[in-house]
Amino acid sequence: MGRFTEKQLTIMTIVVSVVITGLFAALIYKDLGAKSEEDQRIESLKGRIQVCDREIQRMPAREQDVIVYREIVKRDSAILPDESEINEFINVIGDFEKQSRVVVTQIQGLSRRGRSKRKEAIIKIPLKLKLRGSMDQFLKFVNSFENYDRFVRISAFQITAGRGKDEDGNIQHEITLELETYQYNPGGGEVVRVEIPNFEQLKQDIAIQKRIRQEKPAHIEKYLLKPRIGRRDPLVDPREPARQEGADEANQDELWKRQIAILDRLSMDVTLLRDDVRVEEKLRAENNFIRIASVSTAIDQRIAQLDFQISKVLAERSISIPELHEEFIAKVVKPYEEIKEKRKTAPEEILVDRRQVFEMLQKLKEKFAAQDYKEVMNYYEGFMRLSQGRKFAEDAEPLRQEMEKLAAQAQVISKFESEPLEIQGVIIDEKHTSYAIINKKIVSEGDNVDADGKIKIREIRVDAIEFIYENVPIVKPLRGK
Amino acid sequence: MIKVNLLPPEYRKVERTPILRFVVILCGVVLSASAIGAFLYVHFGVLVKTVSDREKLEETYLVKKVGADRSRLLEREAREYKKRRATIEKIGRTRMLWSRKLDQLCDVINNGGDIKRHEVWLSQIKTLPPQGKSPGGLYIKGLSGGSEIHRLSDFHLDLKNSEFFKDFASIDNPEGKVEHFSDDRVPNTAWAFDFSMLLKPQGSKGRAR
Repeated sequence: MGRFTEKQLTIMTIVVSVVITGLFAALIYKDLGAKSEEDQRIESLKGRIQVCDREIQRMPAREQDVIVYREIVKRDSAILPDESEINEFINVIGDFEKQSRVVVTQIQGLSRRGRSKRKEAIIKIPLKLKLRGSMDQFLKFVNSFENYDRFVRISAFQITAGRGKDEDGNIQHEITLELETYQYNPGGGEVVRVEIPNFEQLKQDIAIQKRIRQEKPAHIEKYLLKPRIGRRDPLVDPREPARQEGADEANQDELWKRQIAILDRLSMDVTLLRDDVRVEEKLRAENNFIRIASVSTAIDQRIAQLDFQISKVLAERSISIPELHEEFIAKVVKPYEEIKEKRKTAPEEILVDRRQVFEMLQKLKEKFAAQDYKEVMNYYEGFMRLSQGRKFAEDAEPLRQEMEKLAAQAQVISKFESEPLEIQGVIIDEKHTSYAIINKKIVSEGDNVDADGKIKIREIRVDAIEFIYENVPIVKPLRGK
Repeated sequence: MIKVNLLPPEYRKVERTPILRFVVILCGVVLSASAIGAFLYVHFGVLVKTVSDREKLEETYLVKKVGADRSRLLEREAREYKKRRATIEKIGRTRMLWSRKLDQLCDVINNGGDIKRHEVWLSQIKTLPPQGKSPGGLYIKGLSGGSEIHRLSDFHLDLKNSEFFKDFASIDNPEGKVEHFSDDRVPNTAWAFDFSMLLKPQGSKGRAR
């Protein structure tokens, strides 16, 4: 203290205080700055956490979406061939070639697919074919691809009329055909497959299954190519050779007579067919199932025969005189096609109702009571054949079951009657066991009559013997009683 | 003036700290102590808590980020599958059934075997590439038997009015050139024609497949 004055000491004190205060104030300021930064980071983190929360809230719905769409795509992609099916496609082409009878002369494109981008999920695979065939054969070939269970598109074709013939006499045209199909590559594309715990169980959830069912499955539209009887090839010149005058007059007469005969015969056949179909319709309206079965069979046979005959006439141009040909089309082909079409579209009864079954059951019972077991079986078989493919009404079901039982019994009884069984006599003892002499053997109640044990005696009475045969009780009355 | 204190030390008056200096020291101490206290509070109280809060939030964020990333991946996957589905649907929808079209064309040409109205045969049938909005079409080249031009136009009309034409938007007008044949078949003249038919755009009304 000796060195410093009071003033100096005071000033020093102030200075030291100020310095210390200032230092700590600076540190406080720095810390407040750091706090402010931390606060900003906290706000930013809170914002990001909120975003994460929103994403997490959507996760169950997204999981459901993924499960649904994985299943939908798996289902829908079934129309696209997978890798093994693409590799086998050459065999498919071969099969279609055989079925349609075209001749494939060149195939390009199958080997090129290896160079395509494999990263994509759906890879287009184009193919080019060269072939020969008639128009009908080509139509069948193309139709085979379009009806194939895996998607194949005909992208382009060119048919040029040819002159050469195949072994069946069909003119062979030159054809180029471009096809494309698509291979589905589940692991391709840019998607990362997310692991979903209990995926298999979640897939079975009702809500998910409902969503999957609500989305219509992708389907391949198909076309049923019907055979056209005797339709000419549009790429073949249809013109006829000119008729020679004079010396060919006699031949012309002969030709005329021959063709008239064919026309008359076929017209008559079509008329008879029409009559048969009318009868069939009438029987159908009367629910006469027994007769319908026989009439339908006869009609089907007649149609098969007419099919063949008409196709032959058209293919061979057996009726080539234009006037007769027109008449043939008007009186034979068109009515025939109409009859076939009408039969195809005849309204089918979907349900066999109780009334129909009751009527048939009553008939069966009558025949059964009259012991005409073969007729019972015939009636039943005829009825079931007609009802094939149709549903029985709910209230008709018990009656149908009764019919079935009755028919089964009739069958057993019919079989029993064919067994060699000769009853020579009975010995009745009301107090003790009764006996019967069957096939020269003495048997009693409970015994088997035959060596196989199929026929058992249940009861011996004065007027009849009751047997059990294949679990069916059958009463055989004794002669003269 | 020199002052001498003759009193023994125990009797001398105590020399106190001057009031000013004392006040200054006191103020200085209070200020310094306050500053130190404030600093300690801010540094070890407020700042540490804030940092700790921030660290907790960071941990929370890291955990939630995993869930959020998974949710985003699920969304991407769902989008990719939806895109595949749309592609498969489009592939199935845009197919033209050419066997049906050609079958219908054959029926028109054959006309049930009736050659009175027209007797046509073709030399070429081919598909046409896409043009404008049309996804493509069909080109046919052939002959209409007979010298009567109306038979060609009858064929043209039958074609336009048939089931076959329902998917097409346009067809060339009937025109042709007479050709004569030197073979022994009848008729020995025919009208040579070619028609280009363009398909209706996908999704247009009346476009059956």
